[in-house]
Amino acid sequence: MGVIELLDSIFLQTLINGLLLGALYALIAMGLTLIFGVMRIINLAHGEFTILGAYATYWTCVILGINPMLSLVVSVPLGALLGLIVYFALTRRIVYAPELTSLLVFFGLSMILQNIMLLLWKADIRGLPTTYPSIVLGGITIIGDRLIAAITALIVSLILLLFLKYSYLGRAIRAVVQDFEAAPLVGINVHVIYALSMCIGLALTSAGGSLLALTTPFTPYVSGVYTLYSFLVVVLGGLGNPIGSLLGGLIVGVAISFTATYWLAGISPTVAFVLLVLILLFKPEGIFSRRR
Amino acid sequence: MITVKSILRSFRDASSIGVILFLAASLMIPFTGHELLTAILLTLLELTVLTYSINIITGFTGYVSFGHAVFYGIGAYATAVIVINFHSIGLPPYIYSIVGGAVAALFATLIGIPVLRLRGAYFAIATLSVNVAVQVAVSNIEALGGAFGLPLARYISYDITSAYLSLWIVLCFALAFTLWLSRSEFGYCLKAIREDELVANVMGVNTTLYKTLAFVVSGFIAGIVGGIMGIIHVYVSVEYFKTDMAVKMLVSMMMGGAGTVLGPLIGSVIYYFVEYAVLTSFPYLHLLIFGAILIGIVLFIPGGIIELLGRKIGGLR
Repeated sequence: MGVIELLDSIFLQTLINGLLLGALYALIAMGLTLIFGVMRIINLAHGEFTILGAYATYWTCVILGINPMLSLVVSVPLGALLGLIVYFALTRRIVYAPELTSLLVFFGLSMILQNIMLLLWKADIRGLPTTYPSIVLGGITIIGDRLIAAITALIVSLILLLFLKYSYLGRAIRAVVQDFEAAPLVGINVHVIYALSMCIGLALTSAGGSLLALTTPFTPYVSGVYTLYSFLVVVLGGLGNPIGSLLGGLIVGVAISFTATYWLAGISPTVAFVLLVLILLFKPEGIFSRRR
Repeated sequence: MITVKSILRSFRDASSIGVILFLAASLMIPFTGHELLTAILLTLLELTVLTYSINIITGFTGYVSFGHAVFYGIGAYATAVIVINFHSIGLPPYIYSIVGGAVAALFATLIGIPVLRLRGAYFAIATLSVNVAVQVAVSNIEALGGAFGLPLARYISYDITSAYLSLWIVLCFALAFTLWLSRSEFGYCLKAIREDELVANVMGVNTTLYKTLAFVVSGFIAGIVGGIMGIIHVYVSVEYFKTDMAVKMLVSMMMGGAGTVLGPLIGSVIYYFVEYAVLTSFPYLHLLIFGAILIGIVLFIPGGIIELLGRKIGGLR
């Protein structure tokens, strides 16, 4: 095999890994962007909710011995339930508060969740054994678990996008995103939409966590990384714009994958954050939106 | 400016007497010769000064600096580099922390000019990202010791009394600056930016200049503290950039009362002792308890303890 072919296969491998990773990141970030878009609240506990979803899958698989994909039946309703609880206990009180309030409340929540996870399940690294066989195509390995996770993530994302685009509730959610003061004037109960978006948002996050458990080992401590990667995804796609975050996720996945292959794995968060700051500065409305 | 008259006038408030008493009492500590007590109160002073630092940009100006630890870390590293290269001059090492503060202030200027264009949650995310980006960058720079950090024991020796006194002086500076802010045009402009930046701009406040200045002074103070702590620990590492640090400052500030003169002092003292009690009594539950306290404060006493007291006594601000 010549050098050029070798380079090409590494390049392709990196690209494919990045895209598979990116689809998963897109799903994980979608809950964050939905909640931000509707309520203008940044869920700093986002990574903790993701890891909770991962634990839900892990324990369902370990205890019941079922296929990890079936555990979505447990983790998604769990996320939805958590969303409702969080909405009625906390979010309801801070929807119209200044951002410092919501940032600190959700930071407090992230501390509580992290402590609970550490108490219940310790800091041990958890991971599921390989479920699906890998595919080898002309020198490129496609890891089966990642492929299944990415496809599921894309399907779930598409369902969300179709729901937002065509259903009545979805259109109501988009109306609140556009103007939460005008939405009640056309007969939308904003508080129902807030509760619903929190519910759907955390259900999606939980689903993302489940797929994460399928592909990557995790501990309660890694949650912060996923909060920050999710920020990058949603900022790239435009905060509060779920379609944008789908593309944003793919870009972030590819960027992280290429940095890890061609530069240094440890430096990929820095690359991600430099990218984040640059986008916030020059295109804060996201790279896909046209200026209105 | 702080004039004799303004200092005399401030004596009239009961609160100022409390401040003077705190400063006097805290000045005594190292002279008791009790090293453990000095070491404990040193970390309290550190938190207090840092809370005053974040109070300038977040409390007065309304910009939530979630990555404030970046100034602390940069101050520590800059001071360490100066100590390593210039220790032969023989100046007392704490003088070098001023350079650390200056480098942090320079960084605050460079970062502040673009980042302060962002508002609200965007600003918070951007500062947080800057913090993490710098942290990871520093841990990958070989000249700065990488993830291992820079040990300083070869150049300077451990001396807690001077560290304590330097920190005390910085505290006085931070307090005086905050007192001045609460009574000067500069401070009123910052508060106007916090209430409504657009209106402030229309009313003729040079908002860009004022908020950048507030950010720079805030970064300067945090940088000096980082430098002093680096010298007293005789070691700097990427741990100095931990984002928990900024959260600590924000929580102390909220506990006491954001944008007030006394709030950071009251808040950091209470935070410090609550943290101490919780960490020693419930080591496995401290995050949970802190999270609950944080949520409770933010939801039920958003104005902080000073507001609770103020309702009863009045004139405490």
